[in-house]
This record gives sequence, C-alpha cells and structure tokens, in this order.
Amino acid sequence: MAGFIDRITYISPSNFEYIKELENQKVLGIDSSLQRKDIFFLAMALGLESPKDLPKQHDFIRNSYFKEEGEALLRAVNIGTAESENEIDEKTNLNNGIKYCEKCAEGGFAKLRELVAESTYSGDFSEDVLEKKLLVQLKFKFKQYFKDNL
Amino acid sequence: MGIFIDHVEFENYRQYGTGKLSFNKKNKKMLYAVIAKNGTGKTTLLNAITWCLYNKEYQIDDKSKALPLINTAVFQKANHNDEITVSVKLLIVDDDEKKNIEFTRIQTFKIVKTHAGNKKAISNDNNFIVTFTGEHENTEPQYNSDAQPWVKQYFDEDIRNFYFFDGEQLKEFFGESKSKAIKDSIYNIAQITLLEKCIKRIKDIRKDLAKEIAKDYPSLSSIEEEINKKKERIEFEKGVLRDCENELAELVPKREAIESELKHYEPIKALKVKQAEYLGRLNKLDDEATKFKKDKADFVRRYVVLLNMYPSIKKTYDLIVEKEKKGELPPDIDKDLVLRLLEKEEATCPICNGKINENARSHLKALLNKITVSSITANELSRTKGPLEACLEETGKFEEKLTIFNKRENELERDIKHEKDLLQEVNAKLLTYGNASETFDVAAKERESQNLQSQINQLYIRQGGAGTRYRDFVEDLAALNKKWKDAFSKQKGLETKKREINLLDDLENHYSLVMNNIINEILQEISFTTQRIFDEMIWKKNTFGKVSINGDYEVEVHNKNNVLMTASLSATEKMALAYAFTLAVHRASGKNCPLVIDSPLGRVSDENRGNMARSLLEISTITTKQLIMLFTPDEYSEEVKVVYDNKVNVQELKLSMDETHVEGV
Repeated sequence: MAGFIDRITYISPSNFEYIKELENQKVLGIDSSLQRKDIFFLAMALGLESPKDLPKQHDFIRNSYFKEEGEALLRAVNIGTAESENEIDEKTNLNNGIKYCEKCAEGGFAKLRELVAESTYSGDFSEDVLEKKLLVQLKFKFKQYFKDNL
Repeated sequence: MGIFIDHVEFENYRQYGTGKLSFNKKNKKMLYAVIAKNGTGKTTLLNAITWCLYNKEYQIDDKSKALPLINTAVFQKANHNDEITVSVKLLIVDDDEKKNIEFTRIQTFKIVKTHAGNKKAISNDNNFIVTFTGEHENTEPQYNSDAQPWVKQYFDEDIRNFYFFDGEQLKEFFGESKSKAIKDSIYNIAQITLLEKCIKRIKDIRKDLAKEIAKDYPSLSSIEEEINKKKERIEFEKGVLRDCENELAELVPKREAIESELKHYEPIKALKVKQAEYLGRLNKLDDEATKFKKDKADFVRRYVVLLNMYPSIKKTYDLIVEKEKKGELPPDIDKDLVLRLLEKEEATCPICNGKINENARSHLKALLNKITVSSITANELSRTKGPLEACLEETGKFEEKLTIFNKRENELERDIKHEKDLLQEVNAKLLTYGNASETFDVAAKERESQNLQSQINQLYIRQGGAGTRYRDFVEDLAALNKKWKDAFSKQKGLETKKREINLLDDLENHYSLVMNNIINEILQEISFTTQRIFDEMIWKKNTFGKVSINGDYEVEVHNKNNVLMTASLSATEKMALAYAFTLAVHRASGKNCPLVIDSPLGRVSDENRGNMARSLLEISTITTKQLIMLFTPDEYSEEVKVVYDNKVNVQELKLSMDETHVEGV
C-alpha cells in the first residue's frame, strides 16, 4: 500500500455543468471563488446515505488539493462503512476509497438538486428558504448527536 | 525642446472678435499667466482651441442656450444676406520635428431674416485646414478628413482632457466615471490599435478556415455552430456592458452636479448633511449585511458537511483512540513484514539472519493476531486523528455559533430599519421642500437626483449581470475552442490545415501577449512618473507613500504604511495628483505637448497656492513644457504673484466698454 496518489477526483459531466448554475444562483455561498474541494465535500456529505455510480467522468479536482483535513474526511467516509476490523486496511487506503467518495458526491448532487428545486418558487431560487430548511435538519442532527445521547 | 502654441488667431469669433493672442517663447519663459475676470473669455479661449481642432466647444453646457459663434458686434452690424466668416487659427511649433503646423477652422454664415423679422445666422461651410512650414520647404495644405490625422498626432481628441482642461473640474478627475477615460488614454498612448486590428484579422481568417474545414466534418461543424453562438452572446453582453458604461458616464456626473448644487444651497445644507450621514451608514450596514449573508451561507455549508459526517468522523476517531490505547498507534511492528516472513517456508530473520523456526513462527502468528492494521494504515490513522479531533470540536460548537449568527442577524435587521426610517424622513422633507419666494427648486432637484440615483443603481445591477454572463461565456468559449481543437487533431489527414490553424492560434496568442506587455509597460511608466511628479509637487513629505494605477485603471495613493488614502486627499492634493497624472500621460505619449488650464489654482486653498504655483513653474522650466494658465484676478493672488514675479509671461485680458470684444488681443 502506498500513500494517497496524486490523481484526479471526478464528478459526472452533468454535475460539472450544474455547479455553474449553483454559482450563478450563489447557492450556499457557492461562487467561482469557492474551492472545488468545498463543493465536493458538500455534495459528498449530502450523499453519504445515497451513493450513486457516475455515468461518465469529468475532471474535478487534483487529490493533492484535499490537504490534511480533506484526506481525514475522505478516510472517515470510508472507515465509516467498515463492518469489521479486517476492513480497516482497505478502507484507510484512499487510492481505492476515493471512488466511494465520488459516488457519495454523485448522490449528494442529486440531493442538492432536490433541495434547490424545493426552495425555488416561480423560477426564483430562495437562498433563505434553503438555509432555513437545512438549519432545521442540522438542529435535529445536533440534538440527536450531542443532547439525546447525554 | 517640445511642442508650443505660438499663437491663436481669431476672426469674428465670439468676444475675441478679430485679433491674435501670442504665446511665443522668445523670452524662454515657458509659463503663461493669462489673467481675466469671469466672463471675459478665459473659458472661451479653451473653447476656441477645441472648436478649431475638433469642431466642438466642450466647455459650453447647453449649446441651445449659447450665443452664436459670430462676434456680437459683427452680427449686429451685419445686413440680411451678408456672408460672415468665423475662423480660429492655432499655430504650433514642433521643435523636435523642426516644423510649424497651422490648424485653421473656418465656418461661414449667411445672415437671414426670421418670420418675426429678426436676424439669424445660418451656418454654411465648415472647413478644416492644416498647413506645415518646415525648415527648408512648405508642404501642400491638407483639408478636412485629410487634415484630421494631424490633430490626432498632436492633440488626440480622445484624450483632450489631458491637454485642455478646467481646473474647477479637477476634483472630479478621479471619480468613478473617469477610470474609463484613463483606460482609454492608456490604450491610446500605447498605440495598440494596429495590434488590435492584426488580432481581429487573424481571428477572421481562422474563423473562415474553421468554417471551411467544418463543411466536410459534421462533428466539427456542430462544435463550430456552438462556438459561433457563444461568440454572438459574448458580443451581445459586451454591447450591454458598453451601453451601461456610456450611460453611467453620462448619468453619474449629471447626478454629482445636481448633488453639488443641493449640498451648497444654504437653507438645506443641514438636511443634506444628515441625508449623506444616513446614506453612508446605510451603505455600510448593507455591506455588512452582504458579508453577513456570505458568512452565514458558509456556516450552513460547513455544518452540512460536519453534522452529516458526524457518525463517520466519530466512528473513525474512536477507532483511532482505541488503537492508541491498545498500543498499535503509533506503529512499532511492521505487519507486512510479519506477513512476508510467515509466507515463506524457510525465511531468515531480517535482524539476526538466523532461521525462523517453528517456535519463532508461532510467536509471529501470535503477534499478527495482536496487530490488526498494517504500519502504513497505522501511520495514516495517526495523521488522521488531529484533523478529525478538530472537526469534532467544531461540530460541538454548532449551537453556540448559530446563536451568535441569529443575534447578529436580528441586530442588522433592526439597525437597517432604523437608518432607513431616518433616511426616509429626511428624503420626505427634501422632496416636499417648498418656498414660493425662492428661485431654487429644491424638491424638483432632489427628485431628479433620486431618480438619477435609481437609474444608476439599475445600471449597476444590469452591468453586474452582464459582466457575470460575459465572464461565463468567455470561459465556455475557451472550453469549446479546446473541444474543437481536440476533435480536429483527432481527424486523420488534413495536415496542412492543422498546421495553418496552429500557426494562426500561435500568432493570435503572441500578438495578444505583445499587446498586453505594451499596455503594462505604459501603465508602469505612467504610474512611476505620476509618483515622481506628485512627490515633487506635494509639500507634505512624510505622509504619502506609493502612487499607482490599479487593474481598474483607478489612480490610487497610499500612505507611508501602505494604506489606501485616495478618498482622504484634500482638494489641493487631489489637484496635485491630477496634474501629476496628466503630466505623466503627456510624458508617456512621447510628445511634450502644451497644457492649457482654466482656473489652475481654483480649488487650491490660499495657504497652498504659493506652493502649487511654484511646483507648476518648476515643472514647466525643468521639462520645458509650455503651460498656459487662465487665472481670475482673485486666483492670481499675492502668494502667486510673489512666486511668478518676472519669471512668467503675464497677459491681462479685459472686456471692452460695450462688452462686445476682448481687449488685449
């Protein structure tokens, strides 16, 4: 096994195009100045429970741009799916694991499309509505993880 | 050495009537002070020069309300059907080229009778002539369109504000609508028109070639079609941007002029101060709200990642902690090496070189059961612990951060509403301000100003949208061009065409590179010279640091600590900056042309007049630049007189008793 090889992380071409729409509407602060890894993590986090195969690949980001925290998050996604101790070696190796992260992001973009559609009225996207919707979910999760377990 | 205005000669032109105003440099003094009361003809002299060169009198606000070109006395004496000629001649001496150039504009008028029985002057022919007299020979005069290129060579109309200008307007010199003029002047001086034309021609040839190739290759043809559509959209957005820029260049100064009138109108001065104060605070709050919105969006996005990933992050972190407890992290046993040793029947120990016997094998097997991950994995996990720990800590602060965001949001909403209410109140007072006895209609002017502001705001929104679309389309076009080129290079054959396309692409890239390099060089040269002259002109030696021209073609001044302070410059300092920039533009143009300034010290406070007058005198002497300065007697104050005594040419102009012509010409 070797370290994380510097190759390209992919998303599907349709999602590559979709990011331009997100930038135009400034969805969740996404604009051309935002680093691509942050867009990838957003999609990946939204699609953790609904990974999808990429129909085609489009270059998105060089792995070297993920940096330390990024690699830790990618690793956590994979280790999070490990069912036994025997899988840890395999799940820690990002050279294979990145594929699963790409699938999560693919599923996450589909989720983001749904969320944006639900926050659009008569063709006008409302960032306010989207943020409110997400904050309700985040508050629920926070309560679940940090309060209910106390 | 340089270029000098030798004289201006008038024939029946406005209050100058017929006569000659000389600026010849026989006495080596390069600075001319023309002193005349308001209304005597200072501004008319500027107009005479611009009319001669460009057929336009730029200093007349409303031409429909202006008197005709013909001198009033001449017009009054004229009979019906008389023909009157009005002309202005400008003789300049080009010391570098050793020639004199005479620019002449002649306009003929016919006097006719109106229905009401009054006299009216109808303009007939307008001719423009340029004649040259060299050291050894005279050349043929050039007429009208043939003569125009000579004007461009010496006093290009596009940058006329850098040759003939009104000092009173200098405070506006660096306003937002002026950066376009500065950009144009730099493009103009860089003389990159030829390169621009070359690039356009190369693009046209390439377009035709690509079209020809696409005919036989359907896959290329569809990309070509997309490229052309994209180009059309880019051109459209460019047009929108140009329209916005032009409209803004017209509306912004118009509103500024109305606002200036309103602000100086004594009865509402206090209200205008309050309005500016509320507006300033509201703008600041709006900026804060925009930043807050961005921060909040970033916050939500970040916590979508952290809270959605929390189970995975926690699971991984716990696993690492557990392994640390077990002593597996950091790794001290190489799991892969143990596996390799066990795989071979007769392996030797890598440390003592002894044979691994059954005893040792069972010891290794026991070790393997204890080590669940390889040393590489263990290393990766060790590195992962820190960032995950930070993520978990950050996730735990979600509620605390959200409370801060909500509090700030409420505060901003409250403050914005408060300022809006105050502004509305003061606006309402101004919009309904009325006093029948007063001639100055405050309400109407305020309405006009606010209407203009709302039009300006709309234009900014339109400009922003078009700018974003333009950038996107340019990016799309680059991707399409790459796609076309990739598809084209995959086609078999077509080697000659491939070479031609590559050559054209290379040429375009190189020409663009050269063009950008030239512009940057000129920009640097102008920045450098502006800095040098500004430093020489300004008497505060410990305040100002770098002077530069930024990417938006705005002139910027920093203090010694490199903090931007252009907006904090006094009127005098702004004037010095404008002079420094103007003189830098002159220098970069490669021609040491004269500078004619109406009210050169009008905006300079009394205590600084002497300093500024001295600086201008030094510049004209050191650079042998002819400066023609048109003063009012008040402006040519004692402080100025002391500096200029016997060192400059002074000429006084007066209106005749019947106020029909200027005396002293």
